[in-house]
Amino acid sequence: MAEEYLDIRGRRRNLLRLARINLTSFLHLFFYRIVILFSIIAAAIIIASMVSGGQFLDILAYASIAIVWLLVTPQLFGTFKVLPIVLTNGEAMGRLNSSFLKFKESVMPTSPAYKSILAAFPYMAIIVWIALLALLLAMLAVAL
Amino acid sequence: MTNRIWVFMTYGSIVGIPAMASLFVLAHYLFPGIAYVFEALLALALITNFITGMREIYIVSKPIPDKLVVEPVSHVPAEATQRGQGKAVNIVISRFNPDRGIIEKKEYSVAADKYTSVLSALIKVKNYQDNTLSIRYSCGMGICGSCGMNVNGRPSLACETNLLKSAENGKVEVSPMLAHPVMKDLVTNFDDFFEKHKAVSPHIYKEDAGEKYGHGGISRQSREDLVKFLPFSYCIMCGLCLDACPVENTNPNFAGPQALSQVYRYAEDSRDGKGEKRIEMVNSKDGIWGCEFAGACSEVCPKGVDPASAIQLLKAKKIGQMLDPNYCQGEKSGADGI
Repeated sequence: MAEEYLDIRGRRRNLLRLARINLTSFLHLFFYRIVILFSIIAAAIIIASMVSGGQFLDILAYASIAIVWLLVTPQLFGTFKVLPIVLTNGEAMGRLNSSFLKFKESVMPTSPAYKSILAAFPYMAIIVWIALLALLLAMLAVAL
Repeated sequence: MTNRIWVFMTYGSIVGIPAMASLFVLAHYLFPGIAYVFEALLALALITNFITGMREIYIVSKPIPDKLVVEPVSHVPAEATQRGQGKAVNIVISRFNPDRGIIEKKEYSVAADKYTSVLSALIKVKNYQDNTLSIRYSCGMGICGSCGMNVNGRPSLACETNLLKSAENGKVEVSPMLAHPVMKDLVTNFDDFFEKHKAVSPHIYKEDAGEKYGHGGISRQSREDLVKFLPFSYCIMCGLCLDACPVENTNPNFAGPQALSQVYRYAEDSRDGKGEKRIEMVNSKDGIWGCEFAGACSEVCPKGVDPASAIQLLKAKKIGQMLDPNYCQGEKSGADGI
């Protein structure tokens, strides 16, 4: 490739462009990048609390798990979205061409109830995830 | 082998962290005696996530070109405003000057009515104000995919983007796509893009002598067969999905959403004979497993191809193959791969 081309691919800063394109995608990536860096700190705290015990380290471990919990939520929502996409070939939770979707309905109709249930699945799973976080926070409150 | 271990570690940690965290909390309340097992597994998943994630963060450490500076906006007198009817809109164009190696921002004023697209405004600028402006376009109606650029930071086809609707305080910012090397002004180089497209054999492959040389053996396709791949064949190769893709922006070796969606398109085509080899071709960390499913590619696709879904469907197909006891890796693979 000629030298005079401007090639800025491969720069971390490019991730920030996502915020203007799609905020959901940006949060998904941004939180994931933070959790990558934070995960080694959380792991160290968890291991330290398991090895040496002590209430202070337990509290720190629960708190770090709670932070990880919050940070992985957008990533987890993305993972849960895959199920409806796979089961409906991209019809539920996907962004397929609208005229194609009309054509597909005429050829292979899919039950709207089935699609609605599948589309609701990621939201229901996140509700369960948040409920479990509440249990973790209760553990933290008891430890405090 | 390293590739497979990396994929296993990455996806294992992505699934492992929430799974072990949930099990740890549940076990704490239900079976306190074994909670520490899940706590230890959570720590292991976190360490794995750190190791695989850091590879992503430092995968490419490209230095910023020394001479790359962005010059402040210089305003070009608005001659065109008087030439047409309508509202005056200022277009700020980020122009890459290859001779000086810098990006210059220049502001032009054009008259726009409710039908004016960004492309027609740029053509007006080129025709009446600054004939040194380089733009690439062809059909002007969202079919050829030539006029991809960033309009207000969002990858868009200039011909399909309404100027007045895009204007924020009477101003529209236009810049070249940055996931492709910029040649001049708003024109980008698509060599890498087409190479990636070519690498996935984007054509029907069939070893059928009867069809090739004889009169019989025509590949008939039902409407049910057609709907499996039809939306993925709408791709016009405009490159907007690549520009939006955060993985492509940080790792240029990634196959990219366009090429991967075409793998799915041909893998699902009942007339194609390559079948599972196509999926094997992209069964790598720079292939389907490199996708982080941000979904920005599908968000900006002007044709509703939904490359993000296509990649998830490819991943699901690959997992399905791996879980199939009758599936033999050695016999089915053999493609060049990405």
